Amino acid sequence: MNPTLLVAVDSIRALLHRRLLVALMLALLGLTAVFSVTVTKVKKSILEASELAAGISDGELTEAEQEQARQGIDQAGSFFLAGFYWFSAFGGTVVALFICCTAVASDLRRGTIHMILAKPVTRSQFLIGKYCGAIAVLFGYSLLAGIALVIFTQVNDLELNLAAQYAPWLMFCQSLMVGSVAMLLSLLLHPLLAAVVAFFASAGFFSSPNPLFFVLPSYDQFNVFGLIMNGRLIALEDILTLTIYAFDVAAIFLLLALWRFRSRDLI
Amino acid sequence: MAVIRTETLGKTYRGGTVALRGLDLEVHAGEVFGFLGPNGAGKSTTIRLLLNFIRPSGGAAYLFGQPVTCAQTRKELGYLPESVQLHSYYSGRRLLEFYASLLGLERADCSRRAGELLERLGLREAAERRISQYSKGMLQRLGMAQALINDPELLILDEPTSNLDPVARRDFRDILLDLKARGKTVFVCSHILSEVESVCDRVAILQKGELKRVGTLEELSGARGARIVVGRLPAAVIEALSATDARLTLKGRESTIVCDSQSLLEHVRQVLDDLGVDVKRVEPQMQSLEEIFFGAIDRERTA
Repeated sequence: MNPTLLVAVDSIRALLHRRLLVALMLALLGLTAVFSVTVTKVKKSILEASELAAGISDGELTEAEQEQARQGIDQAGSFFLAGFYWFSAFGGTVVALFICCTAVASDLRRGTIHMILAKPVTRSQFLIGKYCGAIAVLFGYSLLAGIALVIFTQVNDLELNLAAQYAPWLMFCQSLMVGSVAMLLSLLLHPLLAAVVAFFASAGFFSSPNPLFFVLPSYDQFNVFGLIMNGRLIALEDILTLTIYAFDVAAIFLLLALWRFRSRDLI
Repeated sequence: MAVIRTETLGKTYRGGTVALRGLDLEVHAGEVFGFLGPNGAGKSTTIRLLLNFIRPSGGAAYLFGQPVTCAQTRKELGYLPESVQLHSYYSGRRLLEFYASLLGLERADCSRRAGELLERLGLREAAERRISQYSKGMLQRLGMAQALINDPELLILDEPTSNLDPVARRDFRDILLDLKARGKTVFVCSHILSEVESVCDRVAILQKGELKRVGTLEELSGARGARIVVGRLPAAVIEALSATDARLTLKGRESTIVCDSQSLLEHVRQVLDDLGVDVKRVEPQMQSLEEIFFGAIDRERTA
């Protein structure tokens, strides 16, 4: 088997044995579930308490009023769906920062990096393997978040609009970018500081037009919170463009990380 | 052929600490080479440079004639660090198989080699146990097993017996002697001088990043002097020798004259020749490695 693949598999194994990470992922998914249950209860109680709801069922309102009321309820549903998405996307970013900032640092701290690099494994193979392992775990997280989103919409009897359908994939694409930025920064700074800087090192945090737009990735387009809330559609072409953009940014930052990793002392 | 070669290899860490200055060293195929020095002498830095963990500030290092930056040079290399840090989530067997696969061994060979080494290093019972449950001694033995997994041509050992009990130390020495007999090259850093003395063909002594001495034990202690064995000595000879610094021991039909320096040895031989005494044999007086080591270190301290 290729050394990069072996390092990646080992990296997945290492990540899944990190209690803090697993606890963080489970906590985020748990919180999302709690949010889902709470939202369901709140929504039901609002509907039950509302005369509007009674009006719709009893036919006491005019057709125009009924339509307006339905739209209001749909909007509330979209808002809850968007909120659910935001929660899991934020969790994905936190997990990506945690994994990628500590991917090399934890091996250096434990000294296990030396055992691997004393074998015929190049530094590039090691770093790419670590990144691939991290990305595999993040893909798993996005998948779980996607499944949770479907369950949430089914439980709440909401429509899974097109923006919401692609949301987990976009969440994963964003993780690719955040992860590569975090990995590069963790080779230059303390992991904790790297995580903070990586979180804010987005062109989206700065007003445009700004020269930083040409050097920093922008996560704005990946945040479909607004689209989900407004029930707007997202075109397949846009998804494709965003995917290419994410892979492009990830590749650039990974190359920079490789350049830095190849020249630094590993002690 | 030089398995390890360094050319004016130097390392200055960030902050200006000079860890190694212009190291020129050659380790030949099939020899067991002891690398000695007090703490902070630059031994670990040298190993890190040889394994490409750190970049040199000057000079170059080669393994098997190729620059150490070439990953393929490590295909025939085994490494045991001073403090063995292994992936604690594996079992002993699985860890060895993982390292073997990194070395490009076939799956069947990985399992076979892992099984053989676990047996040889007394870890068969603990083979399926998580490494996090291993004792320090077990970790050190597992570390040695991973270093031997590819039956390497070159073995780099950094304080290999630091965490071992006397029995395990003896086992380690036997393994080194076995490797030596099989023509493998071993580069060993150790503070236990008796251990190095018993297995090493050549030694190098490093202090404050500089190479102080290098050579075989005979070469390093060559200038010490000798013991001259002669027959029964006439009174005139005893009288002549008592005027020198040589120490005379009369024992039955044989007498020994101990000369502590080369110049004294030459003087005594001249006296014996002049008086017509028949010399049975001359035994060079060997310094122990400890004496050589402290001689090199103390000379530096005095300077």
